Amino acid sequence: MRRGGVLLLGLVLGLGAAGVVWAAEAPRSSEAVATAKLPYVLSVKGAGGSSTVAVTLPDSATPIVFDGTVRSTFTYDGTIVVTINGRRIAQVPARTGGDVHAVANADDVERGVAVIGMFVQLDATEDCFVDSTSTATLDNAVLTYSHPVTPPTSIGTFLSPGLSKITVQVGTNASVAEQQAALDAVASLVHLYPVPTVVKLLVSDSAPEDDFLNRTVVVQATNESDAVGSESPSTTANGGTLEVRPAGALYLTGAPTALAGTAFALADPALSLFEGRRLEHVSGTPDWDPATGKTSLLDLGASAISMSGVGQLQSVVAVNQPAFGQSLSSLQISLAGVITPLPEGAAGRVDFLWNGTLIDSIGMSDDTQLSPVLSISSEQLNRDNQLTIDFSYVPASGRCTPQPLAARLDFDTKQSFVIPSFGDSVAPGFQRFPQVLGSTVPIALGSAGTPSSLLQQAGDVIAALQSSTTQQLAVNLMSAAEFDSATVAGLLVGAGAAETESLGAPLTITDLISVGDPAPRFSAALPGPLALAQAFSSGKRDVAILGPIPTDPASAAGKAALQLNEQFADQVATGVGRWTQLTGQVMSMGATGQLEEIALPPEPSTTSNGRSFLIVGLIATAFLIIGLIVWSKTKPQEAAPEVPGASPMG
Amino acid sequence: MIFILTWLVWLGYYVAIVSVLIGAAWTVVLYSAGTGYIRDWRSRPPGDEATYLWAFMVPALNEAVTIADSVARLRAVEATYKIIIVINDGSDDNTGEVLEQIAGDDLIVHTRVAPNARKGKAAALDDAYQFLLHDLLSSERYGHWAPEQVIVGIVDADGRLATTAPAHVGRHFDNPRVGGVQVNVRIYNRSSFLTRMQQLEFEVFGGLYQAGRSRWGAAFMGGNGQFNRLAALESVANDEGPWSHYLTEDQELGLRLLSRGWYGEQEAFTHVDQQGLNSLRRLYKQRTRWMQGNLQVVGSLRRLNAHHLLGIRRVDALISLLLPVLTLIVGVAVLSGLVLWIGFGFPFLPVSNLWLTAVMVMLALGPVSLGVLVVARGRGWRGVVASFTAFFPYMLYIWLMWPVAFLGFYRLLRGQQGWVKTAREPIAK
Repeated sequence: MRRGGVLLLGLVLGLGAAGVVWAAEAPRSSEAVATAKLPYVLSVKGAGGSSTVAVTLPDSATPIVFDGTVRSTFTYDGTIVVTINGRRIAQVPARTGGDVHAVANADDVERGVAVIGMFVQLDATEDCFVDSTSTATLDNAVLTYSHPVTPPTSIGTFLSPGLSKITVQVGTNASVAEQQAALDAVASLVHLYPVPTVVKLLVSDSAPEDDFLNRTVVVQATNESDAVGSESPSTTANGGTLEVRPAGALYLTGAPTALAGTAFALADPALSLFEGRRLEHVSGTPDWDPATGKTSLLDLGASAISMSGVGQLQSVVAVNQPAFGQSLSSLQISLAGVITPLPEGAAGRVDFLWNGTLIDSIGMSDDTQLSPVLSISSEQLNRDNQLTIDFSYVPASGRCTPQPLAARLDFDTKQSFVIPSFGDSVAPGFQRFPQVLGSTVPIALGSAGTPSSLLQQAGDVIAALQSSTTQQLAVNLMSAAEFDSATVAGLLVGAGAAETESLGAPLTITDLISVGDPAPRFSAALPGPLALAQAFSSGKRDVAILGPIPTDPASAAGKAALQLNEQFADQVATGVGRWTQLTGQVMSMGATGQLEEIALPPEPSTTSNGRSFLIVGLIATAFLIIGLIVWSKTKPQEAAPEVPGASPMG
Repeated sequence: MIFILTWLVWLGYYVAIVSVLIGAAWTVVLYSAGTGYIRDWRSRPPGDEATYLWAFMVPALNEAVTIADSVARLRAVEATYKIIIVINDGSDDNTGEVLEQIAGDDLIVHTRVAPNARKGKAAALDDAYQFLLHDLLSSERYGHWAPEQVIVGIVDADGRLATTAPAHVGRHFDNPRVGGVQVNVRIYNRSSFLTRMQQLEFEVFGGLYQAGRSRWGAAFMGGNGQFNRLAALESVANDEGPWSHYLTEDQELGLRLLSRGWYGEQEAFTHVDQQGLNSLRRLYKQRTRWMQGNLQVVGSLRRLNAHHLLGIRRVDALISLLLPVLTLIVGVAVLSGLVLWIGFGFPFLPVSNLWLTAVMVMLALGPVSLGVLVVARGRGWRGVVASFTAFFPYMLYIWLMWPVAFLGFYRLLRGQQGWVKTAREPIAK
């Protein structure tokens, strides 16, 4: 009886919940349903941990339901709360975590953005530092929403936020100007659309099928004389044309010299306000405004650093080299903060961790001003860095129950500054990109692959690079010969054996892979067809290349390797982490389709050991020569015998 | 540990590179010096051989096949005053009988019998030297010749000295400081690849190394076709005589003469012909003995610290003596490179760096190129063509001979001193 009652109750509740979901999910007849994943996994740490992530939805989208799973390592009782736009939508036990399934509605979206939040509320305990290192993550999080299905009718609606994919299409016989504009358009759109929107370049003479979430930008050059506003001598200045055509695709047209400028303009957020179908004289410049000097944390994207509570609280600030537009050799961070005075008997301190390593620690006192200056050396710098501010406070009672008076720490992000010094810090490899490139990405198409395939791979690589920086990049498409003789950092896709050799890559494309030439240190047999990306210093410049192994396109292995190259480029452009998936100096993709780093043996250091060897060698040689000269002129100490032949013959 | 290993590896690189550089650089220096030396002597007239008493010593151990021919050829040598001393070193074939048959006023047979016989070439020559010094030169017939005017020539039993050799050699001895002269050695049975290459090898040795050293009076002696002023031999002789019991006693004698202050020179315009070896096995055996002897002489480096061996003469003598060691070092480096290449895939040459590869190839082949260029001297374009033709076979020959460096070193380490005389080939008429 009891079991039957529970079953009945479960059935009723289940039907009720299903009814609610059905009612919420039922889209209008002219709408479709789609899902949006979070740009990254939401996680919180510690008893007072909280975190948010913004999910951008397309125009006129209406959220329906939010799903996810909270996984937790917390050991004390309490709850983990999930919110949308500040509204509690679910909570799960802190010890176990659990599934989240919550109805969402139009009010949960503000200006097209749904802010998903998560925070921890542990039950009151005496221990102020309970679960201070425990974490909770929101996995498999998906926001289901409905959206209209009508194709965009204006440039503004075309450039609606929250799209799934934008394809930039050029024809198979595209000119260099069209190819370059297409690559610039890829960079612009990635700059405009953050993860998880995917931007791909397609070389084809027929446009793909569009739908509301998947749109196409077609790049086409017109004759100079046909260009809009051709009465002006400068077509570049006049710009090109953007036009949404009835099928829904956005056409980017113009004179060859104007195409790139029009492509740059795609990143301009103001375009999303334009309600017309056609816009002429469109031209722009890349949104390139890196931090070149003393820069506030606010300008680096840290809106606020504020912590209030008892126990351990944490705030993280990202300091990424690409934001500076060039490589850094060191940093100085000058923080300006205010902290509550330390009550008598209480204890507290603020720890500063750089990439997880403690670099400074300041104890709380009566002084309410907190102005640490943190120096970061080149050895401590990565491409992407995190400054973690760890605030620990224990009240005078030493207990957190009953609720004590909280301590508070605020840093003024307008008055806190980062002062960069420029130069090299990270070792040669993918970590040096994109900051070594500056504002322009020189890119060339090599000999390994068809022109169409290589251009698409170039688009993927540009998309990946652009996603790793807040600065908009411009593309300089050059020939392989120009690239080979260039002196600036750049990228080469479709690197063949000769190009790999010529650039001095760590791995040379031969049947046997030899590493570290001209001072070889390692070799490995070729396991099968591979796509191989390498980033290294070639002379005085940094180069990243992507090429197949083997390079013979006629062989089955060669064909497989070319396909793997395309797969590699796609993975870098669309996979989680994008460019940051690439680590070390050499990454490969084999039959498994997985990106794998090939670890190189330690470089025989040419900067320290090599120089030492050279100096010692030169000194030893100098000693040898001087010693030889002195020795050759030194007579023995005993008396000299008579010079032979001194006496006359016979 | 890794730090020490890294530096040890680097030390290995350094020693190998320095060895290669020294070898290559000194070859260039010698080629240049030798070219000037030969040009200088080409313009000088032959000397007056009659100023000297020519004492030809021919060590003969079971040389019945060759000795009559050798003596006949020495008799034909144009020297106003000469003695032919054949040292019958305990032969048990019919060498003695042959010598009796060809006896004459100018031929003196110095017979050694057991237990003194067969103690090696140096012992035989020392014995003949004592005989010359104490018996012949104290005789009424030769007593008036001063040691400065007596020239001792060593000719092997298979040797065929050019008839005009004394006049060419004599002009060097006109300089009282000259204690020894070595003439070019040629191979007369150039019928096979091996013998042709031995001929080229001697040509390179005489025309490149010996001629270069002669510029500074630092030429070494080479055994067959070696001429020494008796006064010079006296100045370096011990109780037994001037020759020592080294496997390359001629080289060691040359070192002592230089150390004593005598000049050694090469005479490039006369020669002694000798028999080449057609058998690779016998050639290996002979060259291994020479290599072992060369390495033995390295132990006498202290002799370079001498009053009258200064400056470039001393440096040259040092490098000459160290050449076998440098050869061994380079050999080990090449072998290590091959092992790393074949076993571990390390590129043998830095092919991705064309400049570095070019330098390495130049360093490796440079000495061979200069060596064969010696063939071209004074022969115009024909000589250049001959040089090019000779280049690859000669390189092949040098690689073929490479193992003897290790074999010689191995025997030296094992302390193996016993060597049997190189067997002669039948004489080609």
